[in-house]
Amino acid sequence: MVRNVLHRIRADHAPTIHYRTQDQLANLRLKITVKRIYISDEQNWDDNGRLYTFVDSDNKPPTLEMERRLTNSRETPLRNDLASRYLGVPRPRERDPSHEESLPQAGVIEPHEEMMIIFSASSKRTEKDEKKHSEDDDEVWNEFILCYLRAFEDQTLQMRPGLSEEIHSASSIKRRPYSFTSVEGDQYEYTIENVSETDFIAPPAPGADEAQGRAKEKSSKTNEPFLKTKSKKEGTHMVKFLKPTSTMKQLYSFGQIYSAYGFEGDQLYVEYWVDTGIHWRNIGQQPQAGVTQICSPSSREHPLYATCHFGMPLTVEVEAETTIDSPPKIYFQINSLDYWNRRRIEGYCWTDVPLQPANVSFYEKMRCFFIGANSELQDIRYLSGQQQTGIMEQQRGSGMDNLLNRFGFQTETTGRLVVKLNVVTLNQHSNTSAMMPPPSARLCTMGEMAEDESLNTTKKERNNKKMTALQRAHMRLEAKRTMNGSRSMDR
Amino acid sequence: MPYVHIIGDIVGASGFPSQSLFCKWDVVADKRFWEKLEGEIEGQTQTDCPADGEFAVFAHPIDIHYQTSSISGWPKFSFQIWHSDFFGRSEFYGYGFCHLPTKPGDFTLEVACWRPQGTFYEELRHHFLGGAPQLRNPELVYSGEDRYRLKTVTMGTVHLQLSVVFKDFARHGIQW
Repeated sequence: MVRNVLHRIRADHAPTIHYRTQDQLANLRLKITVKRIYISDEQNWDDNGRLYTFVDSDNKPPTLEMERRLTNSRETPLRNDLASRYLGVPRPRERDPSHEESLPQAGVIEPHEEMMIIFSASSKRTEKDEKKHSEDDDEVWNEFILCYLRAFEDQTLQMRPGLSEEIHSASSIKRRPYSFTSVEGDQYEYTIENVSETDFIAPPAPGADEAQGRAKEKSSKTNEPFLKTKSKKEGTHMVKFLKPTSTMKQLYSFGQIYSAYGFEGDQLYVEYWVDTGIHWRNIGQQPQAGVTQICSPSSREHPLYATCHFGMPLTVEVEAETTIDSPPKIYFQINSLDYWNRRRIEGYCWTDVPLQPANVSFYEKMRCFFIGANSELQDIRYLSGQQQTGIMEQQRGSGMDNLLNRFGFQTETTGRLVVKLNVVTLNQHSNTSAMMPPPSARLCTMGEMAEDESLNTTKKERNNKKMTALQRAHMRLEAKRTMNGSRSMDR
Repeated sequence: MPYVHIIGDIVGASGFPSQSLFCKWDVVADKRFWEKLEGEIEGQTQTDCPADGEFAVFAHPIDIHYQTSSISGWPKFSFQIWHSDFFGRSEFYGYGFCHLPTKPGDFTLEVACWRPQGTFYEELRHHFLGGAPQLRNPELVYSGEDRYRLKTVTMGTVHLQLSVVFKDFARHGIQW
């Protein structure tokens, strides 16, 4: 019997996955199965693997996460300044309910709670040989983070690596394992499984009206795709198109922070924050804030036009009631690091996410501010005049209703940030009459017309249709001719 | 089910430190929703040594047919640019990505490329001998995670020409 062995994924290369949760974090149950698959030294082998966890209330955090490298460069400093600022090491945080809510800022959101599940391979560990490199540049570990969980207040859960990929076969479910190597050369593999009793992890697109989708699917079943596809057999897992409920609309924006130019600093990085406001609800699995890499312009260019290419994905997936017309906003803060790694703020800017579907590249429309040396905005919403309500109320008291007062805020125009957004909206009703297809969409409508002439009609029927159409056209032509004739008669 | 057709070509690359470039590309869409019905979603171009100028022409054809059950996980093109040097060694030059346009029509797209930066000695070695550091996990090119651990250098631009055709989008309530 052939046993198909699943290809293992190197755990230290595995990507971070986000999940949207719909239950309390206390109800999360994970099952981790660790297996030793290769023993390098069989004589001196002893079974001393230990599992332990670290949570943010413990006070001496391990630095393992910091030491994970992203590139195959051996010499790149393991700790860069941005990483130590953002990821840092988990710090114990005060959870005082009376503690005032922190003001929104661009950049990485602090997790609400975090936890590391660590496997310690050997008890003979000394501080010196914490991490060595074997000859083939594979990293070996004495202590290994099997899973790093971070839970955020907007009900997302970030896991690295994510839950093991499930592969469904006829008889059973297999999970693709992750692997790592210990300092002694032993190899391990493990799987992570969600065994929560409740539906802890939300389905991919929440708010989808399943019954509606199914009914729709039934009605559209008669329409064959115009290509003979293999989807009927293989794509059984994709049965319906997910839609929002009838009173809701969804806004998807697939974009990227493309580049920046005209700034003074050498090494730039951009922090962003998506402000959904009170109306929009985040339905995506992406975090609503983030930070790009630290990018240097290529040295060949003139410093005035030196461009930094970021290529940082920026996805916004939000949902709101159909009546809402105030768009979500994205705020950006451009920073630079100098030769001594000192941080300086290069500028601020913001943009609306367009509510109408569009392909836009915002660089003309963006305003960048630079505010004095090393002063930083406490509330980034100040940029668009959507401050916290407290300040607005104060203004209201002094008779300054709905007035954006920027007096005393000195700015300087700096460079430009290029952001590209591709926006698609989705709602329940396919109101084609309300939405005229743009001229560029002609091809699409043609496709639908072609489909209406469904494939199961015979050739004869189609010919008949053509004939009747031709006759109708003739009749119309005749009518027109007679009309024109009568007009000329009048003259 | 909505369908998306992507027809076009990878026109070329410009702005890289030297010529004779080739390009590895792939298209990534969320596998839970998007299914490729026809076409190649990854490939590699020839090496182009431009006779004059710095624009390396690939003219590499793309023709893909997707079927989807959600807007989420919209397809992304990801690129790796390599340089083939005088001795026939392949040297890494840069990563870049772009989204498929969310409108039907003809598009000319530009993709900003970057490469990870090494230490001073690595950069020196890279300058004379070639061989820039690469990502251990290339998924980082089109995901925003862990970006803050990287230091990168700006590289050139990849040029794309795509025609996008949608089918059954309006019927499913999608406005584009």
